[in-house]
Amino acid sequence: MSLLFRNCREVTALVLAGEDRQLAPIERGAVWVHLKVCAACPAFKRQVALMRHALPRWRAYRDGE
Amino acid sequence: MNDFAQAVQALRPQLLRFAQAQLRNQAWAEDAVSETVLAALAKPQAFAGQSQLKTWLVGILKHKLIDQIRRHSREVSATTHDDDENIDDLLFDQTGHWRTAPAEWGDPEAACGRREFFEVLEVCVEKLPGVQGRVFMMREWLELDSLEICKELGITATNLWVLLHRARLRLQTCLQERWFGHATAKAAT
Repeated sequence: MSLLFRNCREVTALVLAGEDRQLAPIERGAVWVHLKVCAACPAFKRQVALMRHALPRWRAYRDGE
Repeated sequence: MNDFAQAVQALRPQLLRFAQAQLRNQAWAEDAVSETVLAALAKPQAFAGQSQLKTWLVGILKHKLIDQIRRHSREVSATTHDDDENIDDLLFDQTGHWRTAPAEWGDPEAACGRREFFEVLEVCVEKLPGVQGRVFMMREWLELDSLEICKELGITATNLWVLLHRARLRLQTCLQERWFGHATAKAAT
């Protein structure tokens, strides 16, 4: 596995890991490089962002209604 | 039974569903809910209409759930093995490429503005395999930090991240199937 050039599976794992821990600089670099050239993964990253937005709302919905 | 006690009892099924989704164990869930109801009935003056009754009860329930996790920490730790088929293998081919490219989900507000979306999300969370579901709910619903979760479950941070990775990937796959790839979502946009 190259440190900077990773495949979609590895980058997906890093993007998700970023939700639960601080990524190392080399990991952030690898994500950045991959997202520049990949046609599929940017949409996945936007899905993760939507989830990050939606989960606090889900908590409020479930606890309040 | 007075009005307050009746209102508390009426919310019991919903509390039980939440407790079960968190603990993934029927007996512990029953205990947590019983303790919550008893605590609420013992000091109705603490409620005093300060918020919605349900919000208040859920706040108590969350503490009782953490108590249950601590009380049964040995059993919980013994069942942290995740025998889930690897979700990554379903989504990626042998070269690490997507089998099906992820879809555009559109504006987050379009989804979050609809209560049906949260109903679907709720179903997807409940469908998570036991160990993943428990960990995901500790993180996103009980809002415990990684360190606390690792301590309560007796697992390593790496183990926790693997479980959360699978849970999040499974949730997104479930939402794609049941919401974003579905006619009801498109009808609204």
